[in-house]
Amino acid sequence: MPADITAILDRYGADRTRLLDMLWAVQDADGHITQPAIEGLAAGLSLSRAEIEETVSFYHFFSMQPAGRHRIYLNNDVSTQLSGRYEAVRDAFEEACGCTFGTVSADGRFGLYDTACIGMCDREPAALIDFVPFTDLTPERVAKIVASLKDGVATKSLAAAFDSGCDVVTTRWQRTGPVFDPRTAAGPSLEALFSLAPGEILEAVAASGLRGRGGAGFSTGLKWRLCRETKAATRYVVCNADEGEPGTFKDRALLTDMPHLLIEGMVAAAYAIDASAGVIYLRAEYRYLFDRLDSLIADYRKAGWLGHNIAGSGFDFDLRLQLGAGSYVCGEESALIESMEGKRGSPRNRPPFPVEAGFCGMPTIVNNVETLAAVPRILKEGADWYAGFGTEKSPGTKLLSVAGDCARPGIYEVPFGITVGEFLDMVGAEPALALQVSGPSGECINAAQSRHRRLCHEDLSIGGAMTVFSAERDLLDHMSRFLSFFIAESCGICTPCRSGNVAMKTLLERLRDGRGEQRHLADLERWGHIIAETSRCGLGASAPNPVLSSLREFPDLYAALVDGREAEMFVPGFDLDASTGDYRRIVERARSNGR
Amino acid sequence: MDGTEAPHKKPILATVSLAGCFGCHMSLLDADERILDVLAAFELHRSPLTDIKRFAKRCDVGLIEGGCCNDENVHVLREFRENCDVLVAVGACAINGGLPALRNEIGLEACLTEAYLEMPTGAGAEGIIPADADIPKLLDRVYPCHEVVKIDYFLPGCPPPADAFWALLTALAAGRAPDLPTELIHYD
Amino acid sequence: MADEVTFFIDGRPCTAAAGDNLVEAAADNGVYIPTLCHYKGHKPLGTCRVCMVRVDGREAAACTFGVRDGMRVDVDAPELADARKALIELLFVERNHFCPACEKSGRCDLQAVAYHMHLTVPRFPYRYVPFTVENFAGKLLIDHNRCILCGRCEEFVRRGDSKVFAMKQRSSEARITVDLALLAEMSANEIAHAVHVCPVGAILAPGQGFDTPIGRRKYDTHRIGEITDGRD
Repeated sequence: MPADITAILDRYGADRTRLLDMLWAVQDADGHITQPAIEGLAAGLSLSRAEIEETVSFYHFFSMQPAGRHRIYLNNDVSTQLSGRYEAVRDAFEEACGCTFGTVSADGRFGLYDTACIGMCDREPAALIDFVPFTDLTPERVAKIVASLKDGVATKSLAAAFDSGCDVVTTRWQRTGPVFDPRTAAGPSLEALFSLAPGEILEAVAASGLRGRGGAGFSTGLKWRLCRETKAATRYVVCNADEGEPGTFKDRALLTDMPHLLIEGMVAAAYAIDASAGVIYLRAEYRYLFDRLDSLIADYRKAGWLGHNIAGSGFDFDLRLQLGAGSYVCGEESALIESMEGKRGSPRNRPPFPVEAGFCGMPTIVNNVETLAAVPRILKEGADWYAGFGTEKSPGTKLLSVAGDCARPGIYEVPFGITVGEFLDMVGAEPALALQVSGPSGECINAAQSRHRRLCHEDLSIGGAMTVFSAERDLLDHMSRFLSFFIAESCGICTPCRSGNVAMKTLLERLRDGRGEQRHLADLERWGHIIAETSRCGLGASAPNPVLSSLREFPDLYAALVDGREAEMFVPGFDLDASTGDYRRIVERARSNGR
Repeated sequence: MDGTEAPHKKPILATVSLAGCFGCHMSLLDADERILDVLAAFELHRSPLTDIKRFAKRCDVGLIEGGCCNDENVHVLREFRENCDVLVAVGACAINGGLPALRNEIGLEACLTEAYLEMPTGAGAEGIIPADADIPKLLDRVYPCHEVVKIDYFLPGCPPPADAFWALLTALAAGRAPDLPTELIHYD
Repeated sequence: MADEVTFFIDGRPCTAAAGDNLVEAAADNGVYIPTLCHYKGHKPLGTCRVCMVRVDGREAAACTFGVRDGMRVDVDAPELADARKALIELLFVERNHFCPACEKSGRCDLQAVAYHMHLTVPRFPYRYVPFTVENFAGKLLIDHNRCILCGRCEEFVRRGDSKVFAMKQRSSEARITVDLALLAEMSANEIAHAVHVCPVGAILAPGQGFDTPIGRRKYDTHRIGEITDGRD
């Protein structure tokens, strides 16, 4: 300390695309990103200071002010709200640390921050302390943890004392399947992989019918072929391990229990599309997995399965980890690429698509962890075997992250096409009010009326998150929280997402306050469609989904808010008495102060 | 509205300035000799121009200048809504709060403190926040008229040009919804 | 020279060179597609989304599309016009656009596009969020009340390769910022360029407000769609 900027620049070859790594190095050394560090990096990278600051200020986990020697990020998303202990745990942190959320304790020891889903949804409440996960929190546990930190116990050794280890959070595998079983799942030997021609891998992946497991469901075989067919000096394989959809933690399970499948899937992808380099973009919330994954990559390199002339095949490919810094929108593939280039994670205009011009302008495939991890299984067991599971248009199986009001939260592998009813019975969620399918960006469905619906691309697309709400829940409160999440995570670059969702939220709150009118229900729907249709990327396009889907599935909940009320003359939202309240209070206070 | 087309019974017009500056009324008067046509087409009832202060009959059209910054503005606006078939928000202040709404970004307490308690020009003077029962109570912020009552039409401008008033009133007198040409839509 | 191709706007055949920017190609064919972030002849930003049209049946920001042979573009459909208008309204309520006191009034693209759309009142509630006005040593002013975050200053005002303006934060907290070291080096002409690049009154040079009398300002004498280059 302070950060040695010259050494940091040297370590990353003064390469602008490594700006996030450099900023992490600065923050790890100095506790925050200091002005001298910004100046040093700007000079070393031939950028303006403003350009460095725009990147720093974009990411949730970078701070330009001292942020506490121990930084505590408490998850505030829906699964922790449903845990029933969130408020008590939050209060316990404030009491133990001596500061409120959003602030640093007077002695500078603790910084308390809210954060969105950290992928521990089956073990809430959970927090990241110095980027080490602490799960299943209770007020008593919080008191003990903070007391130990005050006593100088290192965060990592402290975590080891709890069942959430410092580099592993035990996965609740509720149901394993044919593709991903942590005890048995293996791909072909890498010798066998390189005995195939690249075209054979492309064919196998295409024949398996594998579709993107992040939720969008684009054909993996087609994506790879488009990338392969783009003429270029080099190509890139990127693994999207930025699992940010609230309620999703299935990639955490794979990264923890089967990371070899991911690495082998990336090698296969690289070989198939003739890529020279690969990057696993790991969300900052999973930083605790970084060293473990990094040493696994090193093992593969040492064994000759990564690097120059792999297995004498003449094929060169190496892989590295890229740590994100806290941004949901970076899960969108073009935003992720921007972030990999050391920039703000704003989605790009498309076309061109990443398969044509991606990382540093080169053809790039970006695939979800689960997609890539399925590839070695397909190559080992055969495309027909894989395509034999699931439905016609959604072959294979899907990992589901299950949380919320159910008896058995955790990870499930299911074939595509199971019904909502089968799902609810499987996870022990009866009677359920609603099921949030694929997280906030997916759909909120009426559980009782949707038992016949199928979880597959033909009906309800599934990205991985399945959150159950029981009948006791104030569903619209949760929809409103989802909107707040999208508002906070908007990259801010386009009008509808940045400003439109704020308008939606204001109107929804007005309705929930009983100040709405019948016409506002139609407004909500129309505004939602405008935002969805005009937004630049998928985040904006899906941000209104919580409201639009709950309006469709639970019209009675909304109708009850307005009770047929319509403004004939006076606007029901305006309360004269309330709006003169401030004035009366100010006058009274001034009087009591002798004025 | 040249006399021959005048409706059988003259529509009745009311106007008021709430949290405005009377600039919109001035602009209406700026119609020059066409003001006579307005008077030929409309019977002017409650308005600062007639000094009639109470509604004695139902009106066809009410023009509202200014937004609502205090409870009296709200009462008057509601009276207009109850007594006029068609209500038009006229000018920037009625539509978005305008200049008075600059206080919305500051907050009422900070405004009153600055104006009456810690005023830079009143060093040493004992400040007092006016709070006599006869003084209208300030609202927490300045409200555009359509956030308080239902408004039928909006005529932007600071002030709207006389030609815009003319186009609006001509349309309303003829029983048409006013749809102003682009040239007459101005925000300044 | 790219091949001339035929495409269709609201069913009417139009011609342009293949790959031409759709907003510009439409203008060349006499169709005005409103936009705020597009800066003619420069790379599209696709940020304001006001040029929302339908290309071959799908909603798209026209500025981010190149013309293709046979492309079918819907511009006039009522629901598209309504969506474009809604975007303008979202910009008006998001910050504090107080036209009567704005130096750029009468030559502001946001205002002119709103006139073009006959916007009299936004459907969304005003927010009245406080924003600052920054004065950079009397050399440049940034009035955040008026910024629409289009990104034009960020992209099109450079010294060498470096950005002079940048966007800080994200979501509705996003703000334009200026690099002080680079600003100090800027000439009066460069400052004037920055003011020119800003489609609204967010970036200003001192001493240049209200220099053209009302009635003779850019959009007092022309409607925005009539000015074919979209600028001065």
